[in-house]
Amino acid sequence: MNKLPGSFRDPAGFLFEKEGVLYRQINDVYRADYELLISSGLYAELLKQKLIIPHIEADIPFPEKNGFRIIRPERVPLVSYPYEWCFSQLKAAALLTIKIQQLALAHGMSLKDASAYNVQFYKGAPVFIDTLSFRKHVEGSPWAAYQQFCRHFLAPLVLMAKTDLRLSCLGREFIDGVPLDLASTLLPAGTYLDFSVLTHIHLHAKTIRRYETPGKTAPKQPRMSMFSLRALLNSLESAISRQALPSVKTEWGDYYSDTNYGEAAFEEKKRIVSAFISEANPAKLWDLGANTGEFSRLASRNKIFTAAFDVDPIAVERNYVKAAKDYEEHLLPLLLDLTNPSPAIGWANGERESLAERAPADCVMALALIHHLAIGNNLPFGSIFRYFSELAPYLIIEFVPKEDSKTQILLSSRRDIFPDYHQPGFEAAFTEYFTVLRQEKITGSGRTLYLMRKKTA
Amino acid sequence: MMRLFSRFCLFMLVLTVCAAPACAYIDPGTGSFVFQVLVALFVSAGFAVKTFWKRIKHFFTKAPAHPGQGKNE
Repeated sequence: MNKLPGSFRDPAGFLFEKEGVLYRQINDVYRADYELLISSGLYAELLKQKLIIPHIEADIPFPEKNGFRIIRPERVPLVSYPYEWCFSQLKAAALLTIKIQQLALAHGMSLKDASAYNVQFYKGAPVFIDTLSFRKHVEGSPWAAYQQFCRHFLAPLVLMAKTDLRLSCLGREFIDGVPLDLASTLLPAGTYLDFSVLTHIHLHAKTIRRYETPGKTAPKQPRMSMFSLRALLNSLESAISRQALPSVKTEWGDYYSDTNYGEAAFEEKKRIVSAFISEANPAKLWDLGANTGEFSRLASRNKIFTAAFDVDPIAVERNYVKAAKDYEEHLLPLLLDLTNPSPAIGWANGERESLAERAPADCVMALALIHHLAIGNNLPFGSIFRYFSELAPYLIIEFVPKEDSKTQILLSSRRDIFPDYHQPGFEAAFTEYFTVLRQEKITGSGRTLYLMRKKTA
Repeated sequence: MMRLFSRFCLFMLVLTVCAAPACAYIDPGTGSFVFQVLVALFVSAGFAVKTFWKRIKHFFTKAPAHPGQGKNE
């Protein structure tokens, strides 16, 4: 039994893995709430609307004492974190959380927390994964997760929309959401004129500060009617719905309309990549440097789960909006700076896994990426191949020569200190880690595509 | 309603002017609970109007109970 470290905070239960299968032990302390979740019809309603991860009850021994039941939830092919989501993904997760809280209240229950980590993207849509987050609603009680919702969802969304799109990275630093006083400080003064932001962030932050003052006695817990609760949720829902990104043009947004090879070469590249994917036959593929997912879709349209990573938040945003619009179940666009991949964070660096800890995929794809890593970021070929070999047994990679216009752009503002950046140097570097299965030149581009298999130790 | 609005505005003004430095001494959730109740009271008025308006709109735009009824008339 392997207990997963991310679920230790909740005394209601924990996740564990046994023989490669994911289970959740529900502790006796949560018995009444779990029974209410089922008997109230809330779970069935959430399932019907595809808002919660489905589970079945499992008949296996309790790995720890005080167990009440064991459930076996469906497993998402790749766990992703809020700081890896684009703006619209975080917004969709926020609206899902509000909708679930509204449904929970209608069934006499309430969400006891509103963590963005309770949401995952599964089959193209956000779903709630924490079955133990529901508890009986006590008449007159406020929403305990109100502040957490503002920290995990509203604050980062408003910061991304009104201050800087890149501030989604704050989630990596603050595991329990962006502190509201920090959000208030970072937001432009104009947001004081927006009633929702004024109340839920600026004045909310100031009230929290007031009650943290030494000597201030805590008042009796205030009462709140069901109508007021619904009004609060409606206000949060409308605040989230109104957040939109300003039109921002980024370096990569128009990448495909500005390539240095023609349409025929582009189609040829697609054909070769498709053939390589078929040969590798992966169930899970990670496309590193996916841009807006043109090549990722060669896999995902064949029902291969494909995580399309890119460093550009606008490219990821475009990719996700298209995937959501077309109901693409097998594609998951994610934000990732490969030169500084998501680290392990939280208590004992164990609560949220690093990218490498979530590996292996079955195949990694790195198209038009090597020059950015080797020349743009001074990474030695050997180091790049070693890292790729830790992520998947198969690698589809494109070599982009120094003469390529894209490489020339990278070299235009710096001295060429890369004497080993050439195809023989590239091939010499990967032989330590990979064996070449296929190799094809893209006609008229000077570029070469490789399909490789990891060498076994 | 005007009285409630005035009280809310006064509370907000006091908060804005008198924000104290954070010392993380008492439960940080307390302020959030108190604030939530006040905000909810304030937005309830708008929510009531919105809900009422939705009902009126639904009354005039809702589909007939038996969609096929008029076809043979």
